Amino acid sequence: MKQYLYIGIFLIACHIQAQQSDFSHIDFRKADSLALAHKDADLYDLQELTNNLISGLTTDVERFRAIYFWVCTNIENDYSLYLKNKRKRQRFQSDSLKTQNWNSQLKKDVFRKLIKHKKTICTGYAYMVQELATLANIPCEIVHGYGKTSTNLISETDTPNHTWNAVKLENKWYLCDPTWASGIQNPETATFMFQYNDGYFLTNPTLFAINHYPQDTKWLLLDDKVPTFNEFLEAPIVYGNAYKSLETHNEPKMFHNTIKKYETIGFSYTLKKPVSNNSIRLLIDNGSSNRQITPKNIQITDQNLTMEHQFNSTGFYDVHLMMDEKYISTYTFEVKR
Amino acid sequence: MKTTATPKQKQDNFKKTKTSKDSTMKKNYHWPFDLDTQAVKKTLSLIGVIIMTLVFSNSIQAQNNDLTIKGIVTDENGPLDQVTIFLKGTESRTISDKKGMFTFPQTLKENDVLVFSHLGYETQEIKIDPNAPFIEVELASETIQMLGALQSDKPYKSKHKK
Repeated sequence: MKQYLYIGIFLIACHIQAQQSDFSHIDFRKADSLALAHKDADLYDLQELTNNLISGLTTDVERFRAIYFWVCTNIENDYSLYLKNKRKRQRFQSDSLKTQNWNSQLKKDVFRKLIKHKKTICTGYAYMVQELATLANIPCEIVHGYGKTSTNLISETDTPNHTWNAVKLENKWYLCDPTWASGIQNPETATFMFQYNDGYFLTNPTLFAINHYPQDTKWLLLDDKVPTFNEFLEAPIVYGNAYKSLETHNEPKMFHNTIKKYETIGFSYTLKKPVSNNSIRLLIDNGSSNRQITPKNIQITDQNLTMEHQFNSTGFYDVHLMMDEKYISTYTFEVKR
Repeated sequence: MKTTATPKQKQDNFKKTKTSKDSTMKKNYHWPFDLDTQAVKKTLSLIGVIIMTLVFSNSIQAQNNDLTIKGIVTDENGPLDQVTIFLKGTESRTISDKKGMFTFPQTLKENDVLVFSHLGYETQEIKIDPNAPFIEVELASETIQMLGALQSDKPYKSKHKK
């Protein structure tokens, strides 16, 4: 009975898509500065840390913001541990007992490192956010699933590889990804750089679903048009900067596209904030060389951006959407006669 | 015959002395001084015992304020270090060492509550029992899968057939 009630509330809640703009009337600077003021706090007493982070904040969203911002700006992503985990998981993929053993061994390692060195992999981030939010009496869930990036495209046989959070604020569930918000990993130098990306905080679920697919689809927070796992696999690559600039990504829906010569390709996005026409470029790579072009028919009305492109010769192209010289998304086009 | 007679006599004698005593007391004293001294003594000693018990138990209680609590924290795999142990409602706390052992830095008393918490484990509360100054705690680990995907802004590049 309770479950039905829960689902009912949940469905009502997600009729209106939950996102950060719901709280545009709230200035997060107070919460952020509170988080920054406790930069060197340790993790030995989490209740004390939580109390310090939320003291003086009057709304749950500000309290959660302080907690989330603190985790994102204080916890470092541990690249070597990530690699080790990835290797072991691949090796034990078919052996659930060995995977479980590895998991319990790793878990101990992860939490020890988290407390001592404030370093972790993504479950550690999600776990910290949930732990601190719970101590602040804010309902918060850990969501397991698939995270897709340019260096880690998901295939059908892959096991879940990523963890993020859902949080309930003012009776509505929202999504956030503290791991990806905290910074960027350089796979070549194996170093982590703190570089806070605000786009992963209370993100629009439609955008979030392009590179996050939860094991339990209720955490997509999309009730009207739930994308299938296949649609997720086929979706374009979006980068961290997409989360800064875009509210939603609408077209093209697919990463790999097969088109005919002279066929018009439509691009469509909803923007977070207005941009100027000449900051928008397409970077087209044919495998041997690349060039930046200005797309045709750029139209910006309100927050909507649409534009077009045509290929005049056959070939296989990587097409990157650039805004202000930054990568937003990538598609491939096989252009046939 | 002799044997049966003697106890009867003795009984009679006893009765006599008792009644004579009673009568003298009743003659010389008024209440409360006419109370049976035997009964008074008994009551007094009982009160004494009660007082002594109270005093004695108080001294135990006094000792209870100085309980030094030691213990070991484990999980299903053995000793667990880095566990935060704090006295509920206070700032006082300690951390278990590499062998999972700890000695609480301040003395505790009966019914104090120690809280054991560690990331990844369910928090446990233990009430202090003076009869068990050595605490063994096994923390139950929360079931979570450790996963980690990396964010990367490295642009995608197709592998072209050549």
